[in-house]
Amino acid sequence: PNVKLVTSDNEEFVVDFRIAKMSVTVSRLMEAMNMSETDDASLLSNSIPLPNVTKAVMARVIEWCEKHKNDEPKEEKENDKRGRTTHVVSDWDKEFLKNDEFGRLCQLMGAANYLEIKGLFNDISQTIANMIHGKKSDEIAEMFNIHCDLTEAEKKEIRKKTAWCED
Amino acid sequence: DIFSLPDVFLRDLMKTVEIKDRLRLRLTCRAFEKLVAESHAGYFHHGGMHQAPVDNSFKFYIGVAHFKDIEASDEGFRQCINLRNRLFSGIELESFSVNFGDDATVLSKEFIRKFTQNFKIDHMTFLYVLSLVQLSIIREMMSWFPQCKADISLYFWPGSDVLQSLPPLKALSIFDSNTDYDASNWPWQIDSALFFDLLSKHTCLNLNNVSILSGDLERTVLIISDERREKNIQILVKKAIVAEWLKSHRIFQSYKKGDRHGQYEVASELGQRTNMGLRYTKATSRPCLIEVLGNVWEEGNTHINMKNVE
Repeated sequence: PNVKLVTSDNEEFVVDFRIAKMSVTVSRLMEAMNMSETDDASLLSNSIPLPNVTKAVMARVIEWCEKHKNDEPKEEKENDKRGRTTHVVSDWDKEFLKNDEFGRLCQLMGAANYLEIKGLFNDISQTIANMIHGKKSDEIAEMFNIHCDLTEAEKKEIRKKTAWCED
Repeated sequence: DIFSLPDVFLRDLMKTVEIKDRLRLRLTCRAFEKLVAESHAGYFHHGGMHQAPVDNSFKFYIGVAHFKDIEASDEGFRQCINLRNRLFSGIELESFSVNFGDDATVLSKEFIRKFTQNFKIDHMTFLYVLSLVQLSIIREMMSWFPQCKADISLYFWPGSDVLQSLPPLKALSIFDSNTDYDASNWPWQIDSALFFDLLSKHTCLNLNNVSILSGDLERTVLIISDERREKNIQILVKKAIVAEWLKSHRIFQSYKKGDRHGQYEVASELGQRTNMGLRYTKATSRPCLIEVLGNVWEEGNTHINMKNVE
């Protein structure tokens, strides 16, 4: 069975029920609208409005979901021990996200957050952390388009106070 | 602009950033300096605080970031707490190890308390514990993290009463760094009553100079086998006691792998230099694997390992 999703710019996406269920937000909306996998009529007669996601971003989200629709559900521990151990960005996901500039990653992250697709949100979060990793402070500032408002004296003081850290 | 992202995104992102990257982010602008200080650092597998062996300094580490040569003085502690407060508001660690070195007063209790505020630690390891003062600090630290499992390695003899008063530990080790394990003149010994008390309380034991009889070895196997949770011990005992226990099961020097006697099966061959493996199996209990290190048919002491398995 298929589910119709409508983006903020009125684009309709018809996706597999399993893909729709990957979003907690869409799942909740389907439940509220009495749409069920076994009731084709309810799926055909309704569409899910997603006012916070544009067509371009939705297409990317669906591409990610297509790839991950058969993934085993991950067992997350109480405090979500992702990052350095359990959440490693897979090669496919790295490739998927590698050409996205920071601005596009933020849009995708916003959609993942709104749609409550935890795996995608974590992937993007880790990808941004990986972009930061090992870069000098001025390189990070350039990447994020940050104007540094610290004086040289303040920077010197910060460096002095963190000099214990081995490089 | 990264700061146009919702605050919740930024805080989530900061949970995936490495400690050294957090340091560099502080240098980019005031907004990042604030975000670094006010955000949770996320989960790290390991961290620790170790006193230097020779001088009056210590180091702490979180993951691969090591902060070393910190002077163990009021000023050093103050600066260290300030740095920690500027690096993260909280952190989750799978394991945190503490080594006090020779002197308990170098890493003060108050300093460790402040440093570990808003830490969530699953497992604490206390290495090279050398005095009752250090042990008392450890016990207090354990009370700050009541859900945390703890391993303690004692390198001194605290006395039976103190040992019996310890709370249940994931692992307790008692060594004597000055005594060769084969020596007969140990400055202390763990008698049968104390041994069984420790066995009943702690998950893993590594004990030197355990003075028990062959019947106690049999009782130990039964206790470990009957335990539903993990139980794993290594004890140093007299070889003669082990040999006597083996003979009581008609296991002699000439036995071969696969030989069975009652509920015991020889899992690896006996030999001059090889270790001996035994498997105890009883229908209503968990199997117990027993390993005797070295040749038990000679004089001296030997290590014997026992653990229950699924």
